[in-house]
Amino acid sequence: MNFLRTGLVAAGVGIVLVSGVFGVSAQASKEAVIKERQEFMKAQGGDAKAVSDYAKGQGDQAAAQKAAEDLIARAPKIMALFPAGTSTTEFPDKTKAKPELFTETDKVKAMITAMQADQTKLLEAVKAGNAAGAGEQLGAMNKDGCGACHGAYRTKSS
Amino acid sequence: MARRVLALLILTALAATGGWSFSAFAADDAAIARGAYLAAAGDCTGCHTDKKAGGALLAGGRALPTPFGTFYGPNITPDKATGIGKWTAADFHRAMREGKNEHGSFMFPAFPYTSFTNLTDADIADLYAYLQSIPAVAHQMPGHDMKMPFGWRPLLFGWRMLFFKEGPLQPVAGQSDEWNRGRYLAEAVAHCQECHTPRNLLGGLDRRHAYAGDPHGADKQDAPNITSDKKDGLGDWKEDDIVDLLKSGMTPDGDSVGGGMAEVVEGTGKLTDADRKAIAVYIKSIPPLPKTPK
Repeated sequence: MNFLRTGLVAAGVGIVLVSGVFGVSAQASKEAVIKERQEFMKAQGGDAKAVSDYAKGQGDQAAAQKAAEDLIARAPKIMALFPAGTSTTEFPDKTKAKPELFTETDKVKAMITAMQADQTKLLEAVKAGNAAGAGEQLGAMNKDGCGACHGAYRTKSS
Repeated sequence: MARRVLALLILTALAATGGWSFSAFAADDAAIARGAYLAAAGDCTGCHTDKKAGGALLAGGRALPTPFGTFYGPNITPDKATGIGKWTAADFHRAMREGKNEHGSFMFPAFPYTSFTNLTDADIADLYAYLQSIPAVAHQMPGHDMKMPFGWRPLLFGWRMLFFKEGPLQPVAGQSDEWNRGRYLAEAVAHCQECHTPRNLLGGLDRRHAYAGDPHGADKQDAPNITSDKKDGLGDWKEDDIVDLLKSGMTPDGDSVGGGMAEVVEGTGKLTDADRKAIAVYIKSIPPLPKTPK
């Protein structure tokens, strides 16, 4: 009987510990994805700057082309960087992603799709050596994608 | 002969009348165009158009939560029943200059008349011409949902004594025309301080931290420090960086502005290069201050 009671207590303690470990682990995993997406966005910004510099006659075409290709390669990965439970509600001091971003996924996906179309044209303009056209497409990409999403779903203004 | 003279007189009169009508029409058109430009610079749609829900132009905005209650940007289309169709030019002027509604009651300063009071009479008249020219849309907005006791308008008498200085902005002697133009656009038209300067407990702008950012802005916005502080502000930005941001929404590091600033850029993107440059010149001249603490 004592053995049974001890066993039950041990099992209970085990469950609590395992749940705790999983809880901590899940929390750490969410913090990790927030950090990952922030790094991801910095890389996006770096590429956008490379294209912007080229459009303004301050950067070279090869760097702008590489940047445009990187932007295209990264676009399909964006949604996965915003798993549920990683908004300002859960992590007010670590992220600026509004909770609506995680519920209005259709709108976010539409923004990404529009941005991808702009990115394709952006790459074409850069490849053609059309700096002015690249600047226009960068503006379109910003309006339809980056800016649209940041405007609707980020609390920080800049 | 008499018939010829009469015909000539009639023709002259017609020409004169036609000419006068044409001039009057042209003048109105020009005023409307100037007003539209100012409305873009002032981002009227930010509060008065519910873009997220696909609302009609200036027919009322989304809910704007603040520590004092939730405001609803009113319908400012010329609809007579639900908009400002019955407002005279004088009513509109009083709202912008004095912060009083068509009945003479104090308006809540969520409507930034503390900045709009700095507009010139001519610009207020142009804005009125523009707003009366847009399609009238019947759309009844809910009343503001204020927390006690902030909904009691007579309280605003004291608030205005403390935080409201009425009158057009006067140019600063010794500064360039470009700087003064930029100051006018930033302070009066675009009302930049309303978001980038923090507020005190009573909701007045805390000008000791002018432009140093507001981490607790309306709609949960975290408006950044845009003083020339090198660490926290725009000290490392060139004038052209500010011009680019106002045009495209892109920061020098390739980020895209978010939150309310994305809406602001929709308007500043329509300004002339000269006006964007003027704003940049003025913003770059703002003394450095550390970021407003949370």
